Amino acid sequence: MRSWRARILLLVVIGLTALSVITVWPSEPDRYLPDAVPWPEGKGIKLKVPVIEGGTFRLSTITRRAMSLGLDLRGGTRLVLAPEEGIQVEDLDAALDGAQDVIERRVNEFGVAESEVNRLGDIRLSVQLPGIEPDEAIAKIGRTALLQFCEPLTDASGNVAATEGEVQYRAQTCDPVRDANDEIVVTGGTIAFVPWARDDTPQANDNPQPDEIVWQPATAEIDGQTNTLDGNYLRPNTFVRFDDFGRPTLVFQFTSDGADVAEQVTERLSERNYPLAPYLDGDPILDSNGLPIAPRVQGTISTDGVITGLDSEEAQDLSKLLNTGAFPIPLRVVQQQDVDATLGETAVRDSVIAGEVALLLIMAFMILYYRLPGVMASLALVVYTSLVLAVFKLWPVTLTLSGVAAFVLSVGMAVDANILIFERMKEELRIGRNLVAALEDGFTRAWSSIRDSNISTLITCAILYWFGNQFGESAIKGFAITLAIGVGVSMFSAITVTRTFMQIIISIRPLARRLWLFVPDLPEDVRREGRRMPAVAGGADGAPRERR
Amino acid sequence: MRDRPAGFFDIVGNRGWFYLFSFLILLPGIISLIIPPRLKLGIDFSSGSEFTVRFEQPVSKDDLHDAMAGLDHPESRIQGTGQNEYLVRTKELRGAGAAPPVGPAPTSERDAIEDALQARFGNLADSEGAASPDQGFIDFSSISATVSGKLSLQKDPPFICCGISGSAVSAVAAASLAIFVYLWWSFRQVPQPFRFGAAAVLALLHDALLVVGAFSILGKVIDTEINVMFITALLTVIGFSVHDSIVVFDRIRETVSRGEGRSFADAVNSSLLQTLGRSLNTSLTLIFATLALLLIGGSSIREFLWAMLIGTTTGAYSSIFVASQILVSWNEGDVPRILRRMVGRREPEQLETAGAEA
Repeated sequence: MRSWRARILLLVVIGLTALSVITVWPSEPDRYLPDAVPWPEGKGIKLKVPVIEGGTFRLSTITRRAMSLGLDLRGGTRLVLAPEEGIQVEDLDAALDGAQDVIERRVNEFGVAESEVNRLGDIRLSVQLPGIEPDEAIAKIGRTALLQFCEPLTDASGNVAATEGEVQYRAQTCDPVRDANDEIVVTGGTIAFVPWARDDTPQANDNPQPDEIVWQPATAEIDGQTNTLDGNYLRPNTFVRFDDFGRPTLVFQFTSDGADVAEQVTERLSERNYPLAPYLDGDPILDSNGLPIAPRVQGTISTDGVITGLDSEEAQDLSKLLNTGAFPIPLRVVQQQDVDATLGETAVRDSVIAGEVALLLIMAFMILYYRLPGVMASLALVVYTSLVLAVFKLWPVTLTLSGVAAFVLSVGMAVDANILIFERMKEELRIGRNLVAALEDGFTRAWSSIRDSNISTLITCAILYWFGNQFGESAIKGFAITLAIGVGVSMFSAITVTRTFMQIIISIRPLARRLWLFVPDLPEDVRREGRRMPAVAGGADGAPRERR
Repeated sequence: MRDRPAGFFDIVGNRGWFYLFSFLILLPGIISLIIPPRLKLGIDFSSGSEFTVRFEQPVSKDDLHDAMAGLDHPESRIQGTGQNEYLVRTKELRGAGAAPPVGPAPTSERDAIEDALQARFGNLADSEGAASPDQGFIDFSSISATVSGKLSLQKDPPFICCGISGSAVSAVAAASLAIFVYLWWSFRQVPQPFRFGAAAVLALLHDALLVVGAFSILGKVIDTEINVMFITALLTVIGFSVHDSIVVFDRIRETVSRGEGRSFADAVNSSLLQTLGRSLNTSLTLIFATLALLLIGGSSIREFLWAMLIGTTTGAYSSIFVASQILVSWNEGDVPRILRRMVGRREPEQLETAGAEA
């Protein structure tokens, strides 16, 4: 029975390890491994994993090509943000501080861990983001992300302004620029006011298209004040829902103040069936066909609203941007560049090779000192390393130097668990117990110290993570996550993997009979006795001889 | 009744010497921590200057770093940003002093660095790559600290006062408290379980103090600065210290709960001897790993690895020679006894008070 269990476990372990090795295999193996061997090139991994999004199950594909590495090991993209020209703010300092907070929230939300946000001079922000392309960095982190609801400009009789030309809008808004005579500036065309037909009339097809309409911010008069309906009135709890056909819908809620504004705006627009278009930073939000989203308002909306027609990924990103809030003032990217690793170009290669040498040294030591169990522990260490690295890659954990340190520490702890077990096992063998009993006892007795030390490490990790989060100190956070993963996997590797290997080994008679493979310095009387009785017989409750 | 070997293997009996040894190795660090500047904060923790520099001729990053180190800025963080172009972050560069009433204005540190780099690597180019003899740094600007120790979620930090060092201290304090409580609970079968928690935390503080002290001394002697790597190394040391203490304590717990009528000190001594092999082997594996990184890994993380090496060594030492000895001292009432010896003969009531206070 026991042996069957061990064999099944062994297959599981081998399978898991193989999967992990495939997952973490580098795309340029020659950089890290001796180049005498023609290593195959890694191609990264594509996995389909079920995820729950907006209450429905879907298969989401995750693609991992390379390990995600931090700014210190690989570099990334640097953005410099500055206020949009012509913006007047009372307290620029506070506004930039606010923007810095928003960036930090977005960095967390989009999982671009280990980023740096600095104030650069008096009026700029510098953001360094690891492992992300400039375009993506701007789209996710570097934009103001102010959602604005825009309505068509109309004349007194309700005709909608339309033009063939390009209307010039104020920076990051849908507010048309007007010249000294209060005329809207249009290049390459003129503005004409055309009648607007309701949706249910045949003339509706002749209505101007969204890209022909001249837009303006949707406003409402409340208590004599003009309020523009924008993202500031949204609760930070938007989410994406998928309908039965897998089409995404962005669901949002207005705050109580926003509800009043939204009610007035939609009531006014619904009378004539005007469209209402969501704009983000002065650009219309496009649907999955690349056309501006501008649904006609059918009824009054006060508390909840939806945006439909978006591409799935865009909907997710937009929801995250809305939830993390907009910059307090419109900022634009004034500079973008690739930056390389802060620790030097060879940092990754050097540390990988150093890590390999360290692992080999540890294995050599374990084999020389603990003999056959040491070989098993070394195999377990290979399993451990590939599993942890696979978790890092799939999670994905952004590895920085502090992560590497945590990994080294967790390797030490994993080896320590094996050392504890083997020392116990040797003690049991020395007092004359048989192999099976000694193995079982080694594991049972070492368990309490492995458990206590690992739990206290996990507690420390939790506290460090919390502190790192509070202080915006990503190195501490990264350290805590890496160490926690390492410790978690080490429990599995030191206990399950090594134990399985050992059980398989002691079920092989020619090996199990040679006790010197397990304990180098067995007392003479025990050795003699061991030779007389079969090593494997007796079972786990084999009576111990006198205990010291 | 003593039931333990004499000589070196009587670890418990020699605990006075181990305390003295710990005190002696901690003392220089403590003195150095009292004398300002206690620790030199690196560029991660202080605001500084940032600029882009572009050379006409090819210049390697290592050469540029060398040059900056030669100009009294070994802390410079250099990132390549394109063809012969580097983004450099340094400590705050001193500006020009007030112009004297007569004579030429003194050059600022920025000018001095620009001149020195030009002298060594040839003319600097402007952002378009065009040569111009008068060109200096592109986009020279001040930059805020990367790690300000501020709470990003709330504006008013509830119990933190003083930036990064305050936050590091609170993190260590919180972790210590949690470890203390967990060990208290985990060792509940043994009499006075809270002693185990307290002893582990004291050993942890011993190790942390040794590493911080070592860096304080290095800061004074060779200008070693505290950066994010140092914080990481400190965390690693703390993690290892607790891990190691617990493994030793676990053996003590087992020996004590097996009883067999021996004194607590004897039980501790035999537990230490039993775990000595394991403690040595575990420390050796970690030291191997660190040494490998130290010898092969890049020079940029050398200080970090030294911190790890010091920390793992002291972590293994303190679990046996500090944490376990504190348990014994506590049990044997060493502190009241020493106090008694120091204050001389007193009335019994006063002795009681002295013991309770200790």
